[in-house]
Amino acid sequence: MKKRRLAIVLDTRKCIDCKACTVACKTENKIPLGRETYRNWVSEGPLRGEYPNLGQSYTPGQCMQCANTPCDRVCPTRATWVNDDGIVVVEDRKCIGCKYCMTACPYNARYYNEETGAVDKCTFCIQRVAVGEIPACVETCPTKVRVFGDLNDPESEVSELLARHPYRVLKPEIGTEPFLFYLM
Amino acid sequence: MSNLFWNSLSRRRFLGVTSLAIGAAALGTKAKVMEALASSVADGTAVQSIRNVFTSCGMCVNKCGVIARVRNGVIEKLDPNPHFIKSRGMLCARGNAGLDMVYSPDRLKYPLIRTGERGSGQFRRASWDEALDLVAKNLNELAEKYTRAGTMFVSTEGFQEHFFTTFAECYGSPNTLRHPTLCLSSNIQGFSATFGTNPTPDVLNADYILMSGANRSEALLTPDSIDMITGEGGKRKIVYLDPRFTKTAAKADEWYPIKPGTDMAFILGMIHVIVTESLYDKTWVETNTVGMEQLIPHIQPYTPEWAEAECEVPATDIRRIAREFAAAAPKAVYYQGRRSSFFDNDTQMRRAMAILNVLAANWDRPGGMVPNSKVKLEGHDYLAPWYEDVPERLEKGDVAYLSNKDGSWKYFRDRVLEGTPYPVKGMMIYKQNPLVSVPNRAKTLAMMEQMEFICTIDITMNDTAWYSDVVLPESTYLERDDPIESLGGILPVVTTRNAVIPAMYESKSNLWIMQQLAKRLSGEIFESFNFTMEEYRHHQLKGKPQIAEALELKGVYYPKTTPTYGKFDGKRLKTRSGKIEIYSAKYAKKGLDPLPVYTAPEEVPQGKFRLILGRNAYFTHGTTAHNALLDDIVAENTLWLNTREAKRMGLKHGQMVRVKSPLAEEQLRLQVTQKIRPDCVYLSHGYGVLNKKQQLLQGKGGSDAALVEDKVEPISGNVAMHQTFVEISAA
Amino acid sequence: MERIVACITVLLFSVIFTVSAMAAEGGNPKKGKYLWKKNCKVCHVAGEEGGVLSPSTKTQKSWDRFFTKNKHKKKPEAWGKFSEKDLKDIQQYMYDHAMDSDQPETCG
Repeated sequence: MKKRRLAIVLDTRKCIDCKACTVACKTENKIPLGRETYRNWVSEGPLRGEYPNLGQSYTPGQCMQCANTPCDRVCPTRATWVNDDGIVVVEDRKCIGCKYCMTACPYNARYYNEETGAVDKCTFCIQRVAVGEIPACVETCPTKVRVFGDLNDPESEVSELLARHPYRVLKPEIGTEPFLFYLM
Repeated sequence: MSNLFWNSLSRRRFLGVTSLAIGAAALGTKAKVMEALASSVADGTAVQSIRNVFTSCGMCVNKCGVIARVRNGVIEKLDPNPHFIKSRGMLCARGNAGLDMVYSPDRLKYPLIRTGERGSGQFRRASWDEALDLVAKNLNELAEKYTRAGTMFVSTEGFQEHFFTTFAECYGSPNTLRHPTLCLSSNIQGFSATFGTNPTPDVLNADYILMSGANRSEALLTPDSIDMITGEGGKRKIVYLDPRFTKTAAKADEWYPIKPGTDMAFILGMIHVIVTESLYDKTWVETNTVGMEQLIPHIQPYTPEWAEAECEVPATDIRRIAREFAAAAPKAVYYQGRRSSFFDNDTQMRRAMAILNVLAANWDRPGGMVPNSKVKLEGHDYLAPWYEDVPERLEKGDVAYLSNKDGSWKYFRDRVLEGTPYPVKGMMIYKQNPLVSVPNRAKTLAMMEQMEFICTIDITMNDTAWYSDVVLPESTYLERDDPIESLGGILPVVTTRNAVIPAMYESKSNLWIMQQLAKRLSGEIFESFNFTMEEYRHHQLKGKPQIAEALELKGVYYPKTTPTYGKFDGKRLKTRSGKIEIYSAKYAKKGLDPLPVYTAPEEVPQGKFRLILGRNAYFTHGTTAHNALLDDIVAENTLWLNTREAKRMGLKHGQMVRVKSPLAEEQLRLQVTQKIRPDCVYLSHGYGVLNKKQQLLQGKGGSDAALVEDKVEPISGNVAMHQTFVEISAA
Repeated sequence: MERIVACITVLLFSVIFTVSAMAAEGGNPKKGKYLWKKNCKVCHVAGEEGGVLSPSTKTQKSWDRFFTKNKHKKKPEAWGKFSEKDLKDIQQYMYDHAMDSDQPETCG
């Protein structure tokens, strides 16, 4: 069977910063309570202009599932690596909590989970994907900002979106080759 | 027309079950992966029970469809039900956080009876029998001493509220007091006076949407919040008026920080343009409405230039927006919003909005104002006993149009405090939290102080429960079978709740509580409650097996997936004339303005600010403040102050400030922002609690209920929450 | 001429009469609701002889017409068992909750 390359395409124009994705992720992935513990987030862009001419955008984010991963290269125990679907995973058992990967991640997408004693991050809800479901953040979103799918399948919605629309990735200059694509 | 269904189910499953082996072995310690695999890989040893249960969310009024995943008896995750057409297959932050309502360590677990002073928080655990006997004894004694009207029944919407209001009726009290006069009663009044009903704006199909303070990106309403963003309106445009730059403003095409309380001037200015420039469908108006001939002279003085001086939206923009709106008609709506408890002119302001919609000829048309459809279910057959000598509602006659079922909070409470025309000394409360939700908390406390008996039924020790004599723990929405519920709308749905897990601790459903109380009062009253939930639901669906089947298979029933327009064509509307009433003869007869007449709001006094209130998307009224998952997002409310004003006053972002109104002083953290008019300050509702039990809320934020004066809109009896002026100083 | 005057008088009379009947005042709507539910609803539900009927089925005007003119023409015996006061109470309840009554819609 052909290998998959899972990705998320986001249309941030649809994002109302309701944070449904963040809470869905927390419960789905049993993330400890706390303001510093999360796998995904929505950031408020800077307020543009001066009152009363204002503008603001909201940008959801999570692990970019990079093709050129800065995180796994610094891991002394090889606890973090990329699986066949392109998902960057962390093995709790091997993780020693040195947090090098947290420092190495240019997207600040990792946190230390006190309960598992391991660094944790978005896995596209690997446990859901394993049984053919879509990630919790994608499913729960009121306005369906995120679209999830296989970029190796040219007929997938993600492939079609990227074929039809201009897009960008975050921090392209550092060469991480992220697989979260933001439509422009 | 947009396709509503976007194949949501196939999306949910579109990847198919492949690569089950994805690093499952390598990820061996990731318990979640193992658990997920256990469900599909039966190895005979790790027996895990996983169930998916259809139910409806109970975190706010929307009742979105939910699929609850239960593993070994524990609710693990709440997912949106992709079939649920009304919520467009989504679940918001609060819906996802519903788990914490069940598993919060602070929830009410057992019946409690007060042992110390009221408000001391001293309670003892009691058995259900003891607590219920005590409530029944008090209800009987109160009836003897003060008639059956001497006990008020306070409640708010919910699938089991019906049993509470039915209990009130069977007990014999006319004094039920619900939430609409803290929310939307003026909205309903203004639109119903015009259309005979409060219609739903067809956001999905509208090309031009005007919104006044209806913050749909944060005060989520399904399906509007979603359709506003995702609707395929083609040349869709959203013009948004709000003193704050909300997240809705961020999504709108145009935002105007309108001067609070002057929306009617803006609307009248638009009507002036549309009428004087003849930008409306004259034939349609002539056929379907009454009162255009009175409107034409009435609107003459309300020029856009006049409106600009009142509302601070430039006359050129008012003119342009009016022309754009008229050009987009009939697929143009002035979206009326939900909560309308802003100013004391609100009913007339909503009348102006309704009239503007009439001029767009959008009634019952795609992209317009559509009367709601609703699936009819069999009602509850019961006969409340007849009691002689029970007086009428306490505040009867105080409001031009008083709802017998809802009452008017402001007038009712004032009358209890005056003791006229008769004393009210008993208080039964279900689900509502008046100490947090009703403006002028000091008055609510005084009202409760003079009560001889207070019983609260709730899931958490909120402020009202804290001041009660008996507290009865209700099971949460995830632990109950609820009645079948028919939700009206452009696309009506029928939904229900199925107990996802058995009720925890000693919590009970409200039906059970009402049945137990009814039994203790009289056999005649119990007759109205003598059924099981199963029998009740069966009766509701009598002759409608298709609904039962759909609920079983998909967790929701909907008779259609595309709207029906023109249902009312050629039919009589529920107004006096049977037509759309631009001019309200009914109002004229009552001595009210038959056409909206503008009155300017009081100016903000020197050195003060107008206090305005609102919501965010992580929060429902007072009920979700105490939720650990949501507390992670917003832990307290802050006071918004415009950057320029903060600089002038030497106040810094993040510092504590005092907010002083004529009623009270509260302290909270300052948020310096450009996102608000310089003459206003804002805080979100629901913080600054009095109780010492809700751990997450202790010492957090300030109480709007304490600060806000109890001004009132007299036609509907709705409170006016944006007419309080406050002083700000460093704490 | 006399005939015209007579007509006008009749007209005037009927106007006055209608106005006073329209008012539907003085009844006890709560008692009316009780009486309606206890006595009338048995026949006025789906599948029963009277067919589905509720206060909001008719306008205030037609309820008044019903109570002053029609008087349950289809089945007068059902009417007979009520006292004058009972009928007034029922009329008041129907009027107060008619299709075009002042009772506002609610929420939830």
